[in-house]
Amino acid sequence: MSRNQVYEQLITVFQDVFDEDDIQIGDSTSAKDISGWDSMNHINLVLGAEQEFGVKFKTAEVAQLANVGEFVDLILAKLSKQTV
Amino acid sequence: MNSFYWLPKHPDIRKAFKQVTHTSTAEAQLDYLRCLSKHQLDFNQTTRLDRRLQNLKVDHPEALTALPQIKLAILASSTVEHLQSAIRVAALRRGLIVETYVSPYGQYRQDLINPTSQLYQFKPDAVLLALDNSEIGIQLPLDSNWQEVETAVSQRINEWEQLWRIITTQLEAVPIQQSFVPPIERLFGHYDALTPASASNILNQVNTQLRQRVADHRALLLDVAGLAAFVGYQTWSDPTLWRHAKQAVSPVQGPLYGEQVSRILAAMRGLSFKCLVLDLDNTLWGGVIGDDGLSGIEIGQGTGPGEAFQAFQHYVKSLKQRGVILAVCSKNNEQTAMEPFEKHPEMVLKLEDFAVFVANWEDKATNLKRIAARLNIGLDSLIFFDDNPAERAVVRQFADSVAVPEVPEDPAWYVNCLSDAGYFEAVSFSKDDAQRAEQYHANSQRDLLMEESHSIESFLERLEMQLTVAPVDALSLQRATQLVNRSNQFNLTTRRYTETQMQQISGEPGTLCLQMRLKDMFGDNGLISVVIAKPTRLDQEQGLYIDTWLMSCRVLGRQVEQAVLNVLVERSRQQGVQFLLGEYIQTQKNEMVKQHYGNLGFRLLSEKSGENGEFRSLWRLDLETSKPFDTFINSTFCA
Repeated sequence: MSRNQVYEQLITVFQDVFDEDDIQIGDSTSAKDISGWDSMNHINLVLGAEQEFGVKFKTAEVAQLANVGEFVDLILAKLSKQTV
Repeated sequence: MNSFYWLPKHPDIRKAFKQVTHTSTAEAQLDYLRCLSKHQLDFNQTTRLDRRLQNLKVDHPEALTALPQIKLAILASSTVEHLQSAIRVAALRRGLIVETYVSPYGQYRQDLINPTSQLYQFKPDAVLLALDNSEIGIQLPLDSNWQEVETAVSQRINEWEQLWRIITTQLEAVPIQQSFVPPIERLFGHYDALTPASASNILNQVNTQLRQRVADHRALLLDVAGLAAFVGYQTWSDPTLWRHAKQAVSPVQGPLYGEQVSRILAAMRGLSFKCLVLDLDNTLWGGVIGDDGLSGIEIGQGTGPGEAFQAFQHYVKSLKQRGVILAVCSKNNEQTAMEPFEKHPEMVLKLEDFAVFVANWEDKATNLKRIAARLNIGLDSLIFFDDNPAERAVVRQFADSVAVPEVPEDPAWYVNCLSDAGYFEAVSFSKDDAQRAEQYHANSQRDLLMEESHSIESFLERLEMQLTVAPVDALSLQRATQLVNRSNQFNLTTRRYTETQMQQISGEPGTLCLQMRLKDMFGDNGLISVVIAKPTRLDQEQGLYIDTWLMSCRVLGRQVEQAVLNVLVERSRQQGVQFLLGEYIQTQKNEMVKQHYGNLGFRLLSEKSGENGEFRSLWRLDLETSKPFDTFINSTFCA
């Protein structure tokens, strides 16, 4: 899966969690850029991504995510491990 | 498998969310949201739907008041904020609006004992005690015996019982206690089960004792242990989320948790489904009776599908015995459709199990409306179970208040589907409930007879009614009291009495405290009327004052009141009294009996306004001159 494809799917998770169809995300987007991105919605994003991509994240990985770019990298890394 | 497999998938749920705001009125938006809620939604979509619902509530609070409301307080020892939206959305699916309140984290006890707390200001109708395993807190030496475990558990439950008592008496709400999810960890393995004080045994003991104690207290139970087992303990709770966010229920399972809570709340509000409407071909048997014939359809022992269809029939039959009304809605010739019920030896369900049997070639939405009308129940109390996706789609579109489960392709899953969808939740069960299906069946037969009859007289005559009048005794006390407290419309004075009071009244000398039962050719209507008449004097004459006269509306228009008066007059004469005194006290609901005494030949004595401004009238019947009414009812008095 390409980085763009991951973005395409990940944005639907953001749309659901923040109930905003026109939500904009990029590599540098972080919690301070999106209103409502609190600890509870952080969990919802991670669980939503797990469901969307069929992967499972570790506690430490989730806590360390600084921005959407790192989130996408992490998903890509998980997906590539799966296909091996 | 999706844990909501009985709900249909939405073709494009995200597009549907975009369209919510484009719908015109607030009412239309609510309908649209309710329609969306009847689809499979993951936890994020559930939260999203709830957000729209809450927005609608802020912008147009009046739109939501069209639906029944209930207030739920959640007292929890873990994080439950993420479960509220799931409860509200699942309730919307059942046409119920839930307002929730969550006690501040770790403070539910303080909230409960402080009458000025926010909890008390919230005035909940129901209080959910969502306690997790950390609240059990029973530490016993591993070599403790069964008795010691039982005692320790019993003491702990005493403490919870105190909480239920506060909820019942101080908050005047219904307590809903949650059962506990068995812990994963084992000290030995299988041998834990044989060690009385192992964590899993203590927890099992808690759940076992809890059931009885909750029932004794007339509280309610949310069986989370059963629910967690249903989806699997490993997916129910996520250890990561427990450690990080103190979420005892994984958000992924939130929608299912909400669904279960909402079933109980809906049942509390009387929003339960009453009637299961079944298709026939490939639903109750395999194959098509019209094409395959009696010997060609698959039902009964011998083949997998045949056994599956038979097992489904057994389950449906037990639902009927529990009080669920059954009906058939099939595209068939009526005679062909009935043949298996009459002739096939492997059929568990018989024609007499169905209150209504509709087999024709009209569309099923129209037929379902006909079935609801025949049973005199709302379309929203029907469930339509049909293997054919096209028929389900038609019903969802043209009779959208009917619940239409997605029927699995394999009949072996039919029982699971109907059971898991949880349409028949209850908060109590009595002998009367069990007989309800029979009574609806009889009512529908009476309606048919009425349609066939040329006149009301010939209908009444053909009913062959038998009225039994007897004093209220120990056996009838409970039902008579229930009727005294529930009857609103056909109730002359609307006086309410407790069981103890009823018992006292029935023992007073000279007082008639009578209960009436009505049977007819279609069955027993049960105890349908109560009359209480007390000794009184007017000048030099002795009489009886009719303190209470009420009747179940089920038997309106059947001449029961005339027949009751005949018996009452006869009993009064035997007591040697000269007159009957009747009174009508107006309420908002008993307009229908305003002329009751006038219609029965009583003479109006006076009319006035009572203390609270309500209209009252007083009526007199002289026994010397009164003549019995001719009725089609055969009455007997049993002393």
